[in-house]
Amino acid sequence: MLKVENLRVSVGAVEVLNGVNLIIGDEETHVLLGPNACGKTTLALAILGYPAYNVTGGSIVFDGQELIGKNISERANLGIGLAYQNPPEVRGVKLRDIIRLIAGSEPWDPLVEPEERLATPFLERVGLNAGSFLTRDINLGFSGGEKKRSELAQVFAMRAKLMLLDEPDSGVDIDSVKLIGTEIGRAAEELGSSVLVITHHRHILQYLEPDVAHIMYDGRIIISGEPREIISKIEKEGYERYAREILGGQREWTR
Amino acid sequence: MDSMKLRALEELRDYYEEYDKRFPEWLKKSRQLARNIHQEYEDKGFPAGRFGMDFDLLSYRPDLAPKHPPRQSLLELDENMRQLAESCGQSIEEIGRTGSKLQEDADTTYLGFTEEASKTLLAEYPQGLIIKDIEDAVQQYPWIEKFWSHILPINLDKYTAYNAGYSRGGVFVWVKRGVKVELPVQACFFVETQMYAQLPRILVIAEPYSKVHLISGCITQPACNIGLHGCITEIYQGEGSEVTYSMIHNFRPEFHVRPKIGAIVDDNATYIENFIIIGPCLSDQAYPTVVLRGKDARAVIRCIILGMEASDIDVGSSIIFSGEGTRGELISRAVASGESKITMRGTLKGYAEKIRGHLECRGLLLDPMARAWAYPQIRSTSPEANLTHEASIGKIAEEQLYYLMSKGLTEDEATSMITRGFLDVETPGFPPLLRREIDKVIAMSLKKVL
Repeated sequence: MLKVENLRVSVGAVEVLNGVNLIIGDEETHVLLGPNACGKTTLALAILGYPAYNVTGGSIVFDGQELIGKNISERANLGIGLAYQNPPEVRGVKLRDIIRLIAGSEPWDPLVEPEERLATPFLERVGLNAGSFLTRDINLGFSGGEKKRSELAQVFAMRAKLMLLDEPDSGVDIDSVKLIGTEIGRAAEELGSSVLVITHHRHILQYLEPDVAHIMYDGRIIISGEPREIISKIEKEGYERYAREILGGQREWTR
Repeated sequence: MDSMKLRALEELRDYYEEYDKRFPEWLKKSRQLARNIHQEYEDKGFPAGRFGMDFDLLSYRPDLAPKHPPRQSLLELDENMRQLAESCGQSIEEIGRTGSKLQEDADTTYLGFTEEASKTLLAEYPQGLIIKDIEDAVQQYPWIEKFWSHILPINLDKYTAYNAGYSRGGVFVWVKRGVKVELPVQACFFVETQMYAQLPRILVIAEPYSKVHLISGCITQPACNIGLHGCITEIYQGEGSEVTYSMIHNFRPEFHVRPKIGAIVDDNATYIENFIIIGPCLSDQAYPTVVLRGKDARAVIRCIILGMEASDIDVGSSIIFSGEGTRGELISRAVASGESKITMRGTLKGYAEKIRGHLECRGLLLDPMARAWAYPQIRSTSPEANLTHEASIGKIAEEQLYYLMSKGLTEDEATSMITRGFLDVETPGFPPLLRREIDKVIAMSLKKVL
């Protein structure tokens, strides 16, 4: 499904990713862990093709196609969907209309479809009240949790083949984490999608049952493997010590 | 004054001496006074308007237009005119309307109630709503004198004096006490003659506890590229009444537009204004002024401005809070494309206790040569006033663009969606169908500029 090889990305003059390797197979769920500012979101945005993230080396192959050189909307149309960690507000653009467009339909027209049927199930699925959220401007005045839910609804509506979920569980209460986790698992199964979840919490993982866990540290993925094992290691030792243990003398640590 | 101007004034005087014979004495005098003031202003070269670009008014003449024969219904308009009228919120089939007025150049070519209104509203209140050509109304109702140039003084500026002295046509809307006219009345003003100055006059009188919505669509034939549209609109609202005044302008790149609008609002009454500019122009300047005179009166004003080509648009509103507990809200959204220049003004003046007002001007620049200015202004003499404002001008944020692109939209689709969203402000009092039509027109106009 996705094969990232030796990916180097810089933002301005700073190299943020220095040689990321990542392979996600069909219908697999992966989890990406790592300390703050280690480059997890950068990886997601680079896969999506944000121009500010300048790819200086390596390749990203999705579904047999090289992504580098394609723009954001081309990549999205190939089937890559990102649920943002901090989505921007877009005044006047209704959640209802964006969901309809994403799902391949026209914006809502009261004369054609008096009840807003199409967008409603996507919102209800993630626990958003369609009655009030259909007509809200995207992300305007949404709470942290509401933003995550609306992002997920959009990724589902898009029928993304690869779902990149950037911290779908942060700022979400514990009951909702269960709902979100379960829904991600269900949607992935229904659509046959692969999932890459970026998270800081183990709580959501019990509903997702990831196949592989990766740890990113200082712009690289330093280890990939059995999720349970890796997570319990991190919880015991913390990222810094674990990273040192793995990397040993491979590299000089400046931090 | 140069000889060209003198000759123009002389010709106008000859023409209007004959034309004014139909009017009552008070109006003849008032018009004569306005002409003298206009001539004085032309002579001195000032004052032009307070805002907006100055131009030679006498290049555009209100006496030029030929006579247009009356029409049996709006359906007689040819396809081209229909489309234009519809782009300005006019329903040719008169669906969901109470009545229609059509003015071509100076002549009222159609005026009447819809069948639906005759069966319902007018069956219940036979004289509940009067719609007339204003030139007939002044002959029939002498009391109109009290309401003539009362809000907008003749000597306000040269445009007001020009209209007050040389106006032709217009519409008079009078809703009687307690009559609630739910479906809008539409008035369409067509300019069809080159170099013509269309100077209509609109008077709305809403008696206590009445309700009415007037949609005026101002527009020009494609064959007619150069001209002037300058109207005077005065609105008087009694206690507890609700008036919605929607203006939609769709002109051509060589047109000057100078609507002068004033409203006086009494106790508990609500004034709603939707001002929409969707076509290009040479210049469009408007500064509607609303006086909230009564206790707890309310004003809601929306401006949606689409600046295209080399349009020079200067639009703002002023709300004067002179009654205790009055509230007002003014929201402007402007999209500047091409080489257009848009100035958004807004003034809230508070003179009473417990007043609340908010003013918001937002501009979006689509092209490198487009310009926008925002001048929000607040004045208050009352310590208990709560008046606030917000203003912003900028281009489309990259993060919004990329965000929508990452949802699968192309760059153009995303730009258009963000721009439409930006212009999507609530238009209170608009029938949903009309709102949908206007959205379509805005989308079409945007397609042209994006």
